[in-house]
Amino acid sequence: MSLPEPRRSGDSPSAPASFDDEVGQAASYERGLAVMGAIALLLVAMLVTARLILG
Amino acid sequence: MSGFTGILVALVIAGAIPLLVASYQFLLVAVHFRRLHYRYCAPFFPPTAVLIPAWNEGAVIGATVDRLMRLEYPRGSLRVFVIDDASTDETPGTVEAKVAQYPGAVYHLRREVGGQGKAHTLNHGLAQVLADDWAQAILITDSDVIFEPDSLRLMTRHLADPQTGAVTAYIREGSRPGNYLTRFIGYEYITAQAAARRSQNVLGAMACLAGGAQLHSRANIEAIGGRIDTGSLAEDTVTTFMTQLRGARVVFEPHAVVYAEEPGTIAGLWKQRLRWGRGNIQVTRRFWSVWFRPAPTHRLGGVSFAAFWFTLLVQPFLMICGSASLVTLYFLDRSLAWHAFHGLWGLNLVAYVFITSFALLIDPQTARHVWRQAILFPGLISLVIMLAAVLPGPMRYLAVHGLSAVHASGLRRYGTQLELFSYVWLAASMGFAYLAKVTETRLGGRFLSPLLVYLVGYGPLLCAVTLGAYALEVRHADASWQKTEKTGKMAVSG
Repeated sequence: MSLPEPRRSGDSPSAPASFDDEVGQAASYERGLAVMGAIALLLVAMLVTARLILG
Repeated sequence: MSGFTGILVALVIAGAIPLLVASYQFLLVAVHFRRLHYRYCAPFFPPTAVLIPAWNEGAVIGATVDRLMRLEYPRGSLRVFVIDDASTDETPGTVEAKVAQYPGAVYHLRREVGGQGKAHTLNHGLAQVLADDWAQAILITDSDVIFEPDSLRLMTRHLADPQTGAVTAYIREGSRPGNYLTRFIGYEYITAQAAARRSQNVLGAMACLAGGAQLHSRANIEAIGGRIDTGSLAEDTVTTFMTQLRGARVVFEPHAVVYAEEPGTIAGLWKQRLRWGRGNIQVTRRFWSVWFRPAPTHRLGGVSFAAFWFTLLVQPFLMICGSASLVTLYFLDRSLAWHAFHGLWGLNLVAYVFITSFALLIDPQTARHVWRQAILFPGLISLVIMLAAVLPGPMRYLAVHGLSAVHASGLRRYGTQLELFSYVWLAASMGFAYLAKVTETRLGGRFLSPLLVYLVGYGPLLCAVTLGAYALEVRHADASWQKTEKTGKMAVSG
């Protein structure tokens, strides 16, 4: 399995400095999932429409 | 339509409940961003004890410890305790080498008499870790689980909220190159972990902390008795329930990713899932007073949570009832049977398209490996039945012309049998899934068994296991712990 290498292995992670960015990115990803859900629903709507058109 | 046929139609349509409930779960994923726990988080690095129960894990334990030592976490705040459950392989030697390599950070706790199971092994380690007050957080994991470097600190930040008792991570299937079965599991984990646990975050009720990645605050472990339950096969779930019942929050952190090696054979999967299935039945009984009873201190009594939980447990019975009702309807009112069949599989198709497409979008990295298994999750036969139910005209046209093209038009006279077969399939698929298990070790099973799983579907295979779990529970069969074999097929670079 090819996993990314650790960015740091030292004793003092600098997470506090990037904490807000990291949380912001995670929250942004979760908001993106709402869009993905809408895309999936759109796909379902297209399927149902196609079925109705085909009769 | 008489009352009796009305009941039969309702039972047929009830066969779509599992996929409809799963769709509801996925709809909750879309609103997960509104219930994020991040506003309660802060950079937080409590002294953390990592507990790894290990019984003959020589193939994997060394790499696991190495990866833990590379976590982005203050070195002085991380101690790894390998609880060696009287291993008879090279585990003790490997762990001792790691103790020497990482002095003060890796500890070897040896049980001279073992074999009682994971919970007993963990309790041996917990007793020692809790004996002094160094550890303020306890991470319970498995010997084969590989942590992404940032995963632990992404989890510990949630413990900055004193209301949070435990945090779990997203477990991805990590076998490489893997095989068809591990890829099915890879897709299953998108739905059962990345999606389901997000929806449980939204509900505020978590069904289970992933056994390979459960981080507890020390206060939580002490509050639930300082030990792991040994009375069931689902000790992770019991711990999760007890945490929430005392009023503490359990959080799923989807961006903390860990990798685990999952079974590559149906026999291995069957053994593992039987244990999980029996454990869930035991948990259902044990917490009987919790279900459908909303309480001010926890959310486990909510209707939505109960719907998620019980749907998985009753799914095989819904499938059997659906098929039996369709066949009965066929002999009472053939036209009504066709309409009910159409409704059932139409609903299933809509839910399948929504769930599959959304799941692949939730975790695109895993989706690149498992998209074929995602499409074939219900099985090729069920897919054809879905299309035949929803698009009978085009499918009939294809069948007629296809049979003509191969000079087999005579097969058209078996239309009635085919119709009955499609009615029975919902239940019969579980029997054929069991056949995939049986044939795996027989002559030609190496090819026949995967072929059967692709035809029958991975979903029906899991339902068959659930039925098997019920059978064992009814018989009060031996409930001793049987571990899942680990081979070290997760080739870790670096």
